[in-house]
Amino acid sequence: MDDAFDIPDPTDWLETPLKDFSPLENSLHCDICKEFYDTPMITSCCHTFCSKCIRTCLSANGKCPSCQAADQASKLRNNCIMQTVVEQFLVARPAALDVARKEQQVGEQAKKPGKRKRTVLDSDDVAQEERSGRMTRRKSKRIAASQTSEPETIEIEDSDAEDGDEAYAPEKEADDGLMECLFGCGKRIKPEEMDTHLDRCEQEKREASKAKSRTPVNITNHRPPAAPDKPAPERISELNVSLLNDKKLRQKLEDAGIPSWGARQLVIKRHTEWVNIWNANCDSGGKKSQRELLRDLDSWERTQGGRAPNQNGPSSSIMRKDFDGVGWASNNRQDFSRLIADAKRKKSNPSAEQPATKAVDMVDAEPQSANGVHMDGSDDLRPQPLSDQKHHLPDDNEQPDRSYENNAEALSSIRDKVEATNEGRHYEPQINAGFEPATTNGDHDPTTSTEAPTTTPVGVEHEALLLSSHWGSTRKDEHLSAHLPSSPVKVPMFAVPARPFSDVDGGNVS
Amino acid sequence: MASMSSKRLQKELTKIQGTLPPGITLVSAPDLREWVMDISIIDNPIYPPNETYRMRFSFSPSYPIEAPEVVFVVLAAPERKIPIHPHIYSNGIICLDLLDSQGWSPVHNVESVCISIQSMLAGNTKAERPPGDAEFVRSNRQRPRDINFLYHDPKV
Repeated sequence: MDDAFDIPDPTDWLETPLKDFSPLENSLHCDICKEFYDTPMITSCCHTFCSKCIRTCLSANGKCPSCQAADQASKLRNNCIMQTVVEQFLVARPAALDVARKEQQVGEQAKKPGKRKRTVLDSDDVAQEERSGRMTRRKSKRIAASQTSEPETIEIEDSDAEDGDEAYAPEKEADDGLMECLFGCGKRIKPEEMDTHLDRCEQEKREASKAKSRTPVNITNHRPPAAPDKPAPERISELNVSLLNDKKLRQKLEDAGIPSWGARQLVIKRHTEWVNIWNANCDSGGKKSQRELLRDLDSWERTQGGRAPNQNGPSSSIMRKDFDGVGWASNNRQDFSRLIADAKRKKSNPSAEQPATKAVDMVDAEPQSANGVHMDGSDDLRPQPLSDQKHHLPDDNEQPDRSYENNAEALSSIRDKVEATNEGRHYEPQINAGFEPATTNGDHDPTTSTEAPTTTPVGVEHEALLLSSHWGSTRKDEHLSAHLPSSPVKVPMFAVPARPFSDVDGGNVS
Repeated sequence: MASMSSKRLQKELTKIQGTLPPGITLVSAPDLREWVMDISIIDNPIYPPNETYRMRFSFSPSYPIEAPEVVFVVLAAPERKIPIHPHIYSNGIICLDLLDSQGWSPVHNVESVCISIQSMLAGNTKAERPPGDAEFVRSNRQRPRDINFLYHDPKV
């Protein structure tokens, strides 16, 4: 580990005389994460993986990754000896690799007699050195103090050595411009490289002291030690989510002290992840605090959970190049067709102004006819629609001024026709005479201009409602759809306008 | 803690950049999300030995718990075609149970997937597309992992 970027990898061994260490190291790796086993667990089918890895796997598909045999997380058992082997290997590795590399350099110059023997000797020496070195480290003492399982004797030695360190460090510093590592690993570093070195040094030391603290216990006990003062945490079981409704599920998460926001699917996934993190920690004897576990969960949240970058909402996934358009379309077909229908309706609205006038005219025609039944004609009929429509006026703006003329035309033509038919049946001479001047006057009459704005569909609907309240509920549909009559009472009135309307329509729309 | 997938892919990348079996090469791995690999098939008369096929691996954040998405891609220069095989559609989608959630296992890796595909091609005796290829290629817009393949051929 003499390089800042040196990550332990089996290929490290390939260039050294100890090539066979590469497969050895490989076999100490978990097949899922490809790292050294971290709390190895053995499955029912006797395969070994890191606790976290195999738990994640089993919660994903319930099968052993190696042999595809079905298995359950509850059947996992600690593979203690593998844990010890990995830890011991990690302790021995740096020294062994150092020696192997040195050997390589030596071997390149001279031939290599008795290589194997020397390697063994050297690695022993270095291990010895390392151990004594470790005891003089100030940092290691600090870590050791925080670790309850660290034997007392080591701490005492530490503080002894520390004094010595401080006694001679300043003198040395003077001569070569280098600084001694502040953590006391014995190396001398350029001041500007101190920061990076300290990071590495601290990391190294923590690992080493962890392994160290564990070694004596394992020798006697072969079990990872549980912290004496706090009880070992208990494993939690997975939820049977199908038995829980949304509220209870979220309550469970809150009880467990983890966030409960997000969609149900996400909540379930988060809980599964939490169970895995928690139980993996239990497997390792409760090394981590709950806060650390929560941090792990948080990093899951950021990479794979609700705050994962590519799941931030539908818009970002749509932007992906390989977005599944058809799948999306079929999933959202209902929404799309509703939107299309809405859009069509809206689009037809501007042109629907003419049909709207029609409807208004219908409405007009109705009181007219209704009145007409009792009364004599158009003079009576003019004020009637006005009073009905007054409340729609504020909705409208200037635009109707223009359509007013159209409307007037429409009105007049419709009325013409209505009257004509009415004439034909009942009031032939009387109305014909009275009606014509009335409409021509209406063109310039301010009261008729107020009538024009009623061309909005809303108005028509209101009108229809109003009228339906006048004329009875069965009539409502007829007004809304402006279609053929169904009520026997009105048959003559409605059957007749239905045809002329098509004429009016064609004339106006064109 | 970086996500599991990036750690694992970083390790695989280091390994792949070192040694790879003959006929498999890493073209590019710009990030830990999408890699491009080339494979060539050595002794099968169906596939000319000088022809190389390009595959695109896409990894989800849940890799290696979830399978990567692997498809063949067409390229004009250098020329890359979709190899003809009864389980490879002409749009590059591969029908291989290893790449499905059922057949996938986290112990597989990019290299082992490449080897599987290489051997699948090397052992091929029929120079044909899957049945219904034209229809599938025309109509399919789904991601490979969303397609329900029916794995009927135990030989592959």
